[in-house]
Amino acid sequence: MINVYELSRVFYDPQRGQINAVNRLSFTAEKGQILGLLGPNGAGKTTTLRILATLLDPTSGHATLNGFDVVKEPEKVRASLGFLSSTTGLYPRLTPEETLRFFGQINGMEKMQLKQRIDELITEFGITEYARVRCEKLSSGMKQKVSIARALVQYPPVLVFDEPTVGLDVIAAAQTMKTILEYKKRGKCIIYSTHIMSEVEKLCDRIAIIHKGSLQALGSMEDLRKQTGKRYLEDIFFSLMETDHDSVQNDMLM
Amino acid sequence: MQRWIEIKTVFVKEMTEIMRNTRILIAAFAFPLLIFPIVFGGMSWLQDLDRGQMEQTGIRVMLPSYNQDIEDFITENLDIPVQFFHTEEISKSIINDEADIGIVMDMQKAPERNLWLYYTASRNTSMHARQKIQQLFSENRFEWINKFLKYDISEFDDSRFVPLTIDFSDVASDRERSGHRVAKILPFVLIMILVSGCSFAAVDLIAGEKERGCFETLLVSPVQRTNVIIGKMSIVVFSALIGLISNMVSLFITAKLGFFDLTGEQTFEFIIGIETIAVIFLCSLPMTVLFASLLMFISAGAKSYQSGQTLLMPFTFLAMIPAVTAILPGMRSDSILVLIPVANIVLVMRELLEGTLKIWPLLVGNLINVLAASGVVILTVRGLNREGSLVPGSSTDSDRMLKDFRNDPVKVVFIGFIVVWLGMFYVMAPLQADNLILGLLLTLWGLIFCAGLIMVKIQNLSFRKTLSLNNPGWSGWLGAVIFQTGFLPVILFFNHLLTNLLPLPDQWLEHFSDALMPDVSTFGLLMLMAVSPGITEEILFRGAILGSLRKKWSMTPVILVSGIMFGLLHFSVYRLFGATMIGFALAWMVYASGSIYPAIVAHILNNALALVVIPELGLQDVNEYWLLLGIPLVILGGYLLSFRTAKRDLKRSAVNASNIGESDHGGGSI
Repeated sequence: MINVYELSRVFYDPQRGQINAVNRLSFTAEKGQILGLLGPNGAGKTTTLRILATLLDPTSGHATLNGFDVVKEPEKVRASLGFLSSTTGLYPRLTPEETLRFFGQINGMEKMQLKQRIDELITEFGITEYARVRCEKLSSGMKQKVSIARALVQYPPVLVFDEPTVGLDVIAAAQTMKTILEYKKRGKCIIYSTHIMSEVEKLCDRIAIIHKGSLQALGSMEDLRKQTGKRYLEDIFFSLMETDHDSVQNDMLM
Repeated sequence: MQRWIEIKTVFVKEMTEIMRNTRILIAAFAFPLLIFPIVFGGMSWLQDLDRGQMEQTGIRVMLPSYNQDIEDFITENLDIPVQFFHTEEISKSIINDEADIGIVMDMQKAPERNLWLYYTASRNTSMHARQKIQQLFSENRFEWINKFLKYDISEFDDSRFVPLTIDFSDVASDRERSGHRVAKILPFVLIMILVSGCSFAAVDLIAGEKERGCFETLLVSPVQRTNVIIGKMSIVVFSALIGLISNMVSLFITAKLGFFDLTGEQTFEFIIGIETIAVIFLCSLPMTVLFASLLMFISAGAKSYQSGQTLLMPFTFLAMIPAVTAILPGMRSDSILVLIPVANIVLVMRELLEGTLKIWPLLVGNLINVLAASGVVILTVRGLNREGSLVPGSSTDSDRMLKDFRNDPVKVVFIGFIVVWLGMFYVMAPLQADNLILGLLLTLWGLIFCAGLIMVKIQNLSFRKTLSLNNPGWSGWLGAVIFQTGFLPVILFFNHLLTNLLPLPDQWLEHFSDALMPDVSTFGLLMLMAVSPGITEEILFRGAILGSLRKKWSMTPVILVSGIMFGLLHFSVYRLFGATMIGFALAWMVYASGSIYPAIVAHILNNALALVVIPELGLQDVNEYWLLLGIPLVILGGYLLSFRTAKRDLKRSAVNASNIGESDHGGGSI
């Protein structure tokens, strides 16, 4: 469903010169699977996801999503994609119901079908009580629920979650992860980007560890264990990071 | 004591933060400093344009019958062209725009030796004519006693010694006059309502949504980005128009109810009729689209709602310049102002309220505004379609550029230029007015020369390389002399053509000749007006500015930007063209010869020749032969200037074929 091949993105910074935010990154993600993108802050996770979501162009390399090229067919890519960023991105003065209707409409859904879909999502996510309350008045957990429902409104085959649990309490974070697992079971292809190890261990079928824009390791938990000889993901992660001692300091500058 | 330490600690911390916030610095420091030079400079520029045009057209005087005394007197003493016409129906002829002013004087009936001036306050040309004629007769009131004596032979009484008194009769109708009062403020208020209506919506829909992360979710949906932008633009326009309509409705109702009587003549209700409101609304449409798209474009530069507001504030004030100019007394739509958006619409609204609106300014003004709005809409849609313009975080490259001032030559140049410009305006101009010679020396050596050196120093660049302090060789020195000897007549010719379009006001010419300082020796004059500017201005413009910009840009933009900056520093719309052209030529010389010295020689020569040529020959003698004389010299000089670099490039390309073409960008720095 997702094919990323030798993807690179360069930014220019007068202080530090050329920055390779994403450097020849290659990976694939399949239907009914969750691929975890794990990396420290500034590793290039968000840039990669933004390229997949057609918000940024790659400097070189290719990426396809649901068979569509992200550069050549951006509209088809976006129609296949449910995208959730770390900010909920909800319109504060719209209600959840209005939000879902708006995103259904701009995805070209028909009126009757959309109405049915909105009811479905409202029931599924347990937001019936708040369906007609302005989003600005909802709690963080509730906002995230609305936000996930919003990303799912047009039945997208691919879902991209960029640090979806940032700022959520333990209960809300657990609920979010539960929902994501549920959609994996329904056959969606999911990319889950985070820097929280426990979430990756719980959710992901395959893990891509990224550092300084480059892929450090890719595979299932078992594969990574074999590769590094470490048992826990945290140890695996640090053993891969150790190759570059000043990495932490550099990342703080990003 | 502890309290003061704490207060001081907090103060220092806040100060540090504020000093690092570029937007606050602009809003709190740069903008308040710039506002008056920009507002008054803009207003006086627009007024000058208008005045220049009127002085060239001249005035039309209507008399009841032929009167040799008056006509000879006016023709001899007035410095602008005058045409005379005769009719008994003076008022009617003024109303019908057959003349600008009517003069009635019955000289035979003592003691009523009044001069009656008929004019209309609703026409700029008429007000201008009134001012000219009134001044002329007031200054010569006593001279007229002799002229009266000629008519008063039969009678002898004291009245003939009474000087002329001047009375006025405004032939504008009640509607015009009352409209005139309303029109003084209403169009300005409406423009401000449009600007503020657009700015609140634009900043919320662009900067606000960027801050809330809404753009990211919207732009990853299949909807096309252009459609998102146009959809948002429509709502910004709509909200501003709703504001305008509400305002107009409130005005209409208030007028209908008779809550106020601005005019004292009960005609207000008539002025604000449905038709007036409809025309104002239609004229406001293109203007609103223009404001909406421009403000959206500007707000895209902000990351948050708050910073968006800071960014938009200066624009709101900038929009006031043409609006305020257009409501100044005497401004009319039958002038060049009809070509300037905002000013034209204010004038149209104003004349509509006064009841003097003609159809062509309405059409031309709206056409101009539709074109301007379309242009801005296209630019905005393109700009906001750029990657990183609407999604926060993806514009990391531009954000980080702000952090490092020293490493960004473009920023150093632009901020440096603004500082020099402000220094000239606030410090040096008053100094020059007080003591011209000292002021000029301080401007050139204290401000311009030092600014050039500081610009290079602040970036830690090499003086020799950045300022192109290289020997240009014999061909460079000679080329500069020949080139400039030819270039000056060419520029003077085009300047002469331009003067026909944009007449020089007398006042300006006088000022210029005053500046030539008759009490200074020729040598002193040359040192002060040719050698000093030649060295100092070249070090700043063709040295520091050109040398910095070419680190980032290619030749053409560097020549254009440094040339325009050079033109802008001459502070006058009349010198802008010539100075900018010379700026382009001097910048090219540095590229062509690889050295700043030819530019210095050419600049000194240019000023020296201009000091001799202009006062001796005068611009009126400029003709096509100047072009014929100048162009061959320019070509020969240009060839000589690029002779050495071309030769060097040939040599270099023989050594390494892959280096061909580099001379275009880096010729001067080697």
